[in-house]
Amino acid sequence: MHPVIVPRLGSVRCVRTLVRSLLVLVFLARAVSADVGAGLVAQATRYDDRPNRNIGAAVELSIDRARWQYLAELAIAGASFGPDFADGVAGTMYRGGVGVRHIARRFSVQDRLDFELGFEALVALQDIEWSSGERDVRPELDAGFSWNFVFFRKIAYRTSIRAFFTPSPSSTIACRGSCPKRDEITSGYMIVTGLVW
Amino acid sequence: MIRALLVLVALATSARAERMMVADDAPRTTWNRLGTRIGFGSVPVDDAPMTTMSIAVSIDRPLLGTWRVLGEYEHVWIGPRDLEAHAMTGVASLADSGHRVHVGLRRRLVEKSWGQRNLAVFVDGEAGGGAMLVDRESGALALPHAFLGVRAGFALEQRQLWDYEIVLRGLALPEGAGALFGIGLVWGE
Repeated sequence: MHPVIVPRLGSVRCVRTLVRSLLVLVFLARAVSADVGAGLVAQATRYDDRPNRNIGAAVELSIDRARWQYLAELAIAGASFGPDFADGVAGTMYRGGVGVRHIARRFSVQDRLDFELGFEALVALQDIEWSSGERDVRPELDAGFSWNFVFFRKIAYRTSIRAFFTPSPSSTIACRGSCPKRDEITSGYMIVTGLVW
Repeated sequence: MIRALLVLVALATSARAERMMVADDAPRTTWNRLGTRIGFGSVPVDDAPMTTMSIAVSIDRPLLGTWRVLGEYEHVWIGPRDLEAHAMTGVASLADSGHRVHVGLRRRLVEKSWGQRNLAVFVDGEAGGGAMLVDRESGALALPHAFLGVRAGFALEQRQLWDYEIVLRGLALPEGAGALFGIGLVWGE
């Protein structure tokens, strides 16, 4: 168990930030007839021959225009290296992005249940604060699809599955020995899943 | 493996789906399908088994009668097989990533439907070929393949179509046999 990071992950500051973000998003959503989503985010990739996973919470605000959704996504996650997530936590990732989702297909069952297929792409910025005090700020590009199960056209359960691309981190905590070159782009797998209303 | 592939080819070409229908009403064959899939598999590279995980988008269109043509793109993560590491860290256990495409033909082999075709279960056969391109640290990897497989699942049909399907595919590669297992959701219009 990491003595420094775990208290930070569970810190009141993180929870407050998340709750505040969610409340602001709900307020904005009501004002502009938009959707709000909240759920879990998980990323998996590999740096310097070590597994890296970032797992945390995410909120999304999306404005709908016909079959297009313009969205903003915020996330807070623990950044971990190694096979055991909890033991490998080495920093906290703050992440924000904007993007677009196209609802390409919809299957409706008597207006009570819709199965939707969405294709989505986002650009995001990661700010990873490592336990060593170092910091990595890097861009992220996501592309993927979402499976949406919409109940009574009011509430939905959405799972977004994406490939994401980002430069390797340059902090010494993220790499052993010589760090990968900054321009080295790695590809990872990402899931955002949760409720939308 | 080759025998199994030949048997499946024979079945796919000789079986007449219409005869095997249990329901009275004929299936609509003109759906334009668009789907997505999560996949897991194995391919041999440099005499070593490699594990693949992938996300895919697929289209298939009516071609002639009950024959359909399919095209798929997969973003693939690939790395040496290490089942313990795969179980613990998933995609993070795979070192490289790349792209794979498949083109082929698909035909319904067996179907049973209920409620004026509101619900159906099916088994489709499929065959085709494709290629994978991966940019590895040890050098680029380009692998052609042929495939033969089955898709089984259930379909909900109203004005649109929605399929849940499991894909099981055998791959023939230059260094031997591989496999792909996938779970997909497909929408038809």
